[in-house]
Amino acid sequence: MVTRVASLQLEFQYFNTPQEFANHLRAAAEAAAAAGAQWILAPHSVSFGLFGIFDFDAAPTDSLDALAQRRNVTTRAWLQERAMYVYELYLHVFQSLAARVETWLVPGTVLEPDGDGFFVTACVFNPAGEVVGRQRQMHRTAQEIAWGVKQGDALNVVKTERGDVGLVLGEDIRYPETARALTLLGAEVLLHPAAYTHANDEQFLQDLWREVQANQTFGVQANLVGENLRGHSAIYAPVELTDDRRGVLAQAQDTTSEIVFADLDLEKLAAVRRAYPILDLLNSALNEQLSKK
Amino acid sequence: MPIQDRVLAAAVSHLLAYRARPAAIRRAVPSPTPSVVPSPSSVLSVAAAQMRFEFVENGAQYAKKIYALAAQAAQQGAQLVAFPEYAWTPLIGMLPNIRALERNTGGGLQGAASTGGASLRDILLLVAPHVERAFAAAGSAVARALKIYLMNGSTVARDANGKLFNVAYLFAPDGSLLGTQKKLHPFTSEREWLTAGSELNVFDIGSTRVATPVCMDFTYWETTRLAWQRGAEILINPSADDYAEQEFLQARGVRTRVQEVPCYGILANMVTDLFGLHWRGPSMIVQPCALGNSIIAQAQTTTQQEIVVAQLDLAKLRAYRAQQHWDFHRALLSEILPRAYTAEQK
Repeated sequence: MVTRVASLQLEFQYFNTPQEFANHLRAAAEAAAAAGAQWILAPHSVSFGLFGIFDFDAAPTDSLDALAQRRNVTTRAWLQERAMYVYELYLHVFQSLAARVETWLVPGTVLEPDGDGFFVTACVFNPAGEVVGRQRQMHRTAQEIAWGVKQGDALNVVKTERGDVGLVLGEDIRYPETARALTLLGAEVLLHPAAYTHANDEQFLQDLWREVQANQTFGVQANLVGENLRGHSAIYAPVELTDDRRGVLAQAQDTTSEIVFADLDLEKLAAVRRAYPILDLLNSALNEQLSKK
Repeated sequence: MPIQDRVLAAAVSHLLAYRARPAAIRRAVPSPTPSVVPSPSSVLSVAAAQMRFEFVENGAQYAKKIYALAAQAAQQGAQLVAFPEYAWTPLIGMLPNIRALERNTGGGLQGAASTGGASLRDILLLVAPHVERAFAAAGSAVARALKIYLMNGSTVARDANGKLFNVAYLFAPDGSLLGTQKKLHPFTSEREWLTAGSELNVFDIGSTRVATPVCMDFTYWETTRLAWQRGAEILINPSADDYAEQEFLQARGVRTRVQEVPCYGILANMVTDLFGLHWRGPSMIVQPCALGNSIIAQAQTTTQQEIVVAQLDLAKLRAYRAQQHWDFHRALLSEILPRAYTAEQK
């Protein structure tokens, strides 16, 4: 079975109304669907653009910390007043959008309020617009901890007729245990909504390419880009599945808005796993020692 | 085993014991050189020896080969020198008739073994004690002669129960054995004869700590995470890889692992075309991208013997480590991941 996937590389901006935000995402998602995409991934934190409805003067380069400082409150306090609205809008906008384009959709991450804190969460919408999966980010940046973000409590694989999918959210990419567990739980495709403030020519060594090779999955990465954001979105495969043996099926040409497509052949992936069964060779006696730390 | 085969095996074993005798190996290596001035403790000069698998007649010839390469590294200031996985393989030249077998069989070492009605495992069980003795004697003598820390690659080793292991050795500058590391993850082609180790060791070499998992072990982040947690700052990767000249195939090893755990890495490759193998370099010395280009130094060729030397700034690595923020997930490591491993085994 071959599944066409699309990575939406999007420039970050704030929107003054939910409708502007929806229109922006809809244009990209419709373009992807028109090109045959059956899965669409949007970047990490793209939903932060909705915080613009609380501050009409917000510039794309303004961080949430900067917006909070203007009100002389901590970012955590600022978010506590606003995140619920953004979260509800995220669900509403993307339920509609997934159903409109009749495509599996992971529209990046959103802050999900929980008590006095938050989770960084991504939802999986099916082509009917229903939320059929949810993943909370397991590891946090120092900034996210300051905001009151909590660690996620579970890893989930969403099983679909278009492949079994695991989500590696933002900071989780630094921790290879995330992708390993997702793969062992059945993931064939790892989706990585990303937003990097810096990147270099060897970025592939440090993010999803590395996990794709280590776990023999496909990988789809969607980067948030802009003045202070870097990265070239890409769709990865084990090196054995690419003609030039680089492990890159497709990659954004630039660091501006762009849609990246690739066709993922799950049967070929299974053949690679049979020929070189990395996960059959795990050392259980060694790995038990990891949990003792 | 028929009696004539047993007689033949005993004869070969005696021959191997003679060719591998440590006394001859020690004589083959020059006496220790005068002490060198120690370098500042925060900078360590290291080398990867890219070594060619060519037959030697005996242990003494093997020791000379190791010495020649290590001496090149020491002359360039290397204090720690790493050799490849399967660095023992030249010693298989001690077997009678092995060259003719290599020429006449197209099926690799397994094919050569089966020509004589044996399995690869049979051959390895026969040669392992002699190979390991010569390998260890050569390593010790060369480390002592050059006053270097020497990871002289890995050897096949047989335990008392007849199990075979792929074991890396690490010697101190006085020639004493600091420790060994059994390969933890056999490659697919090794599974029929190789038993996996279960312990990951870290060794103190004075100014820093090193770990030396073997080749395939670097496919697994679990190996290097444990090494880092146990204090390793340098990960030595002895390797013998088909098609390692393909950059992105090779990048799946230590070059990516040092991005996950902030360590330096030394990759030493065995190279050969013997027995239908396609072992290639380039050997290299690598670092986290945050410290600069991930490749600090690398071999110029993929098929020739070479020494790759680099200076590792341990103070710079430690400063980088100190500024890193980690948010490990206790439940993921202690509950979710173990359950996932168990599910995979089922």
